[in-house]
Amino acid sequence: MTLVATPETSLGASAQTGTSHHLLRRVVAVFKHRPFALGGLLWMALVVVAAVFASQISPYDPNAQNLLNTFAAPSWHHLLGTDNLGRDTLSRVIFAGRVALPAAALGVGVAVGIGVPVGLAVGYAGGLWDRIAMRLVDAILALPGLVLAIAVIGSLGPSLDHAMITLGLLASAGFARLSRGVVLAVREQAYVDAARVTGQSTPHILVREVLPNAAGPIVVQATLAFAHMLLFEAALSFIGLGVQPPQASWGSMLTDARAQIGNDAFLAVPPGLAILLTVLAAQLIGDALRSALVRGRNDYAGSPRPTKRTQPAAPAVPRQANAPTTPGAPVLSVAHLRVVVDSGEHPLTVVDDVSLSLDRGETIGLVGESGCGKSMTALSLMRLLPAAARITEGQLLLKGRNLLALSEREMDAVRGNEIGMIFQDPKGSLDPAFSIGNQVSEPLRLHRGLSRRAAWKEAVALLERVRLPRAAERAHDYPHQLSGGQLQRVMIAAALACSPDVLIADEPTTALDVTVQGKLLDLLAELRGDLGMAMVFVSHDLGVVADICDKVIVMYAGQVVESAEVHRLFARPAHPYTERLLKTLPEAGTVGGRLARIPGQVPPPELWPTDRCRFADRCAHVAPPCNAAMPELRSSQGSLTRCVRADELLGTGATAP
Amino acid sequence: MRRVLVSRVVALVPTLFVVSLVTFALLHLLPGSPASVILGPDASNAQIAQLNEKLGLGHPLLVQYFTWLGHAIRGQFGSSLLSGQSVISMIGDHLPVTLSLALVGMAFAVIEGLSLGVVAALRPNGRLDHIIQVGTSVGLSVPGFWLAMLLVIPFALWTRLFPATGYVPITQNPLEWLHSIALGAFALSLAPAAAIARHTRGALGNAMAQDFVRAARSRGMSERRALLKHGLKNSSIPVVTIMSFHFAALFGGALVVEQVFGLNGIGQLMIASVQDHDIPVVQGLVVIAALIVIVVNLFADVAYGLLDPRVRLA
Repeated sequence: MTLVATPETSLGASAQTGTSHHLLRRVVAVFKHRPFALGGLLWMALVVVAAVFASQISPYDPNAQNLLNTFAAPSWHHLLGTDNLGRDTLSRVIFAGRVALPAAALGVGVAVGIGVPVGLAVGYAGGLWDRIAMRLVDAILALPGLVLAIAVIGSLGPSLDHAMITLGLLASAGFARLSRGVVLAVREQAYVDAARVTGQSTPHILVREVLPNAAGPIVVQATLAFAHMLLFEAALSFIGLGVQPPQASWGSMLTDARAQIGNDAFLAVPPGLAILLTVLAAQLIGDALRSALVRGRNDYAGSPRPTKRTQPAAPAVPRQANAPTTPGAPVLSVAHLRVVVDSGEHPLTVVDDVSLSLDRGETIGLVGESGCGKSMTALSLMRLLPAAARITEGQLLLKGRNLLALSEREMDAVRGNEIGMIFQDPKGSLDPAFSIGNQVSEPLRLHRGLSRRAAWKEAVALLERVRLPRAAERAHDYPHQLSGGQLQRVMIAAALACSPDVLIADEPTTALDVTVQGKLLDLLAELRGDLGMAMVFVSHDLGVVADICDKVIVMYAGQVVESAEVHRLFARPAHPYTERLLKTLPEAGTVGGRLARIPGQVPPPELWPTDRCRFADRCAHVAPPCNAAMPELRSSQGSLTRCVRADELLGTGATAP
Repeated sequence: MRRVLVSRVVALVPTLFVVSLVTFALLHLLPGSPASVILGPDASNAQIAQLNEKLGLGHPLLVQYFTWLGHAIRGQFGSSLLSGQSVISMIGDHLPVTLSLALVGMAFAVIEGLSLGVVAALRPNGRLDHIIQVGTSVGLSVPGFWLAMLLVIPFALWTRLFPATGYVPITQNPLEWLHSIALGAFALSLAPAAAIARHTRGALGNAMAQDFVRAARSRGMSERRALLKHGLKNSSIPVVTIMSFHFAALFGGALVVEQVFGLNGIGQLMIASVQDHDIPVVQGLVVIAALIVIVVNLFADVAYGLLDPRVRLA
């Protein structure tokens, strides 16, 4: 029994606009899809109707005693049996609704009637008033409501109304906080300012502009508060401080049942079920209303369909025998990889037929603008795609082993052991609740089975290796105590802990200062040499790629558009997109010169054409053949390119940087 | 950490102010002359005058308030109008039962809530997830005292696995103590457990979408293990807040559940004092109940700080 809704509810207020008609449609839609909520609505309606027409529908006078027929079991004469005085239980349960419903309504009415105006007023006034009021609100919400209600009964005499008004007053603090939150959110919006400029009075603005936005969250909280008030009424009547005998209330019926528990245990069932079902109905209605009326929530109760997180294991590709590992064979080879994202009705292909081959010790750069599918490709290599994305086609061979055929458990043994990864945002990639030493130890304990102590020692050595100053000491630090550059060193230490054969680096320096970037690249290059590992280096920055990579793959709109050895690519780009990317690089000696930008941006996946060149719309060299068919990736003067005019353009020197 | 602690303690001032105001007002809410209400219609004028003197009702309201406040701060809530026993010692006699129920109930709630939340989150949208989702709605709706009655019937009346009544002090025998309050504490735990389970399930879902979980998985941690290590630690820190939020309600519920087991706790004392218009006892009870809730919330804040390194090391 809580006096107010949980913190999520009160913080869940979000300003919104919408016509009442539109809102009603949303409410109806939500109830249609939630059988439980609809059931709650029907039960609530039944209880209300039964209470209103209690005199007409109840089979007996609720207080009529029949001492010849006490403790009767349920029968056709008494559907729910009789109590110790021979009174008909069904009739008493029906009449008790006349106590519970108005009492709960009184409590909610007081809470809304006082809380909402106060919240609107202090939210609008702001400043000192707001701070004082919110302090008081917090104070009131911390009080034990039932204790105060009982105490007030002690002063004013036994009266359910007094108790419910007290509980309503306490609950009004929650409504004040809620409506204040809505005011603060709405205040930021222009139309309130507009109303003020046009000279509308403050109360007028509050009622006309703010209240409609607050209505949704208030209705939701009122429904939940109604549920709590029902529980309070039951508790008060149960301890004899609510309605007085012989008047029936669900709580007081339970008092009688408690006294007779040794004689007839069944007496406790009907009134308790009546409370449970009615409170449950209010809760279910409240939950449904919340998902219809209050946006910006994603908690358990609010989201009808939490997103599925687990990944489908392997795509529908036949299991293949692992190719034998031969010396000189690529350590990682990707063939015809296709990644599809489920969004709405149509699945979107975000990585389209990507192939690459990585030799031992080699580094391949994966470049392109944001939204080209680089990161999706990188995550595919780890089989760590987000929930909505999946690999539908292709082959992923690590040292000849087909990764797509592995079970999730087998894949766990590969990740961090044979193939490691570092991410763009080192701050977000480390758990704030664990020390960095602990997180660097993780792969050592998982893959090498080291003890906590041994793994820690090894972790400190790794941190020293990535040149984290005072590593032994700092291993005890938490992520928030380190700088971005230091955190990325920690990430590198963790990724390389088990000396993987391949490191996937997804924009590892993008979030860092330029000065830090250089040092980290040097570190990566050094470690790559020491460990003899291969690397896939994802970046949108060709300058960085030039420093560290042997080969470069340029991606555009989910496709590989060019693939070449790094010097060749920089000297003679074979695709107009590569050429444009190179032009965005600051050239040595042109300090202060403006960087060229590629006009336009990568279109979203749903607009990627399938029957013509995807870059044609932004290309300076577009010609009719570009729009005639999707160009194939083909060889042209030592590069692979997806441009039909490559030979022609290279011949004329049009693509020279 | 010290700064957090100081700010929490400072934040208590308005709460204590509200408590003092409400408690003081209780006496003055009495319709008509408080003394005649308290003593009943048959009281003589001399008796009324004596009680007025005792309650300090002759002075201006502001003076009365500060006099009362001054006494309350020193822990003096006067003595019962009925028995003459000091209020503090009466509360001291009755408090252990209620506090045991509430604290053990909260402990149960944390265990149940966290486990259910984790089980639900292990397979999002699985069958167990849906069952737990419906179950938490029921848990939030079931009146604790009714559940206690339903538990008494099979576990105390039919099988005698648990006592239907009676309380064993923890100082006497800790196991018997737990045994004597287990049914009531469990009945009380369901509502906060449901809230904690919902929260944990939602928070785990969010935590599992965090970059640091993906990073942990890139180091070879299985999804389940990542959920139990990184997910759970990050979701359980806010559980402390949920817990403190529900404690006030749990304490109130304990007063009622006591009645089911015929336990002589705060609830019994409060109901009796209310029926007898024993105002000093009622006032004292309100202050103590509020203080207990406040202290528990303070502990929760401190625990929050200890669990979250960002606060602890700030």
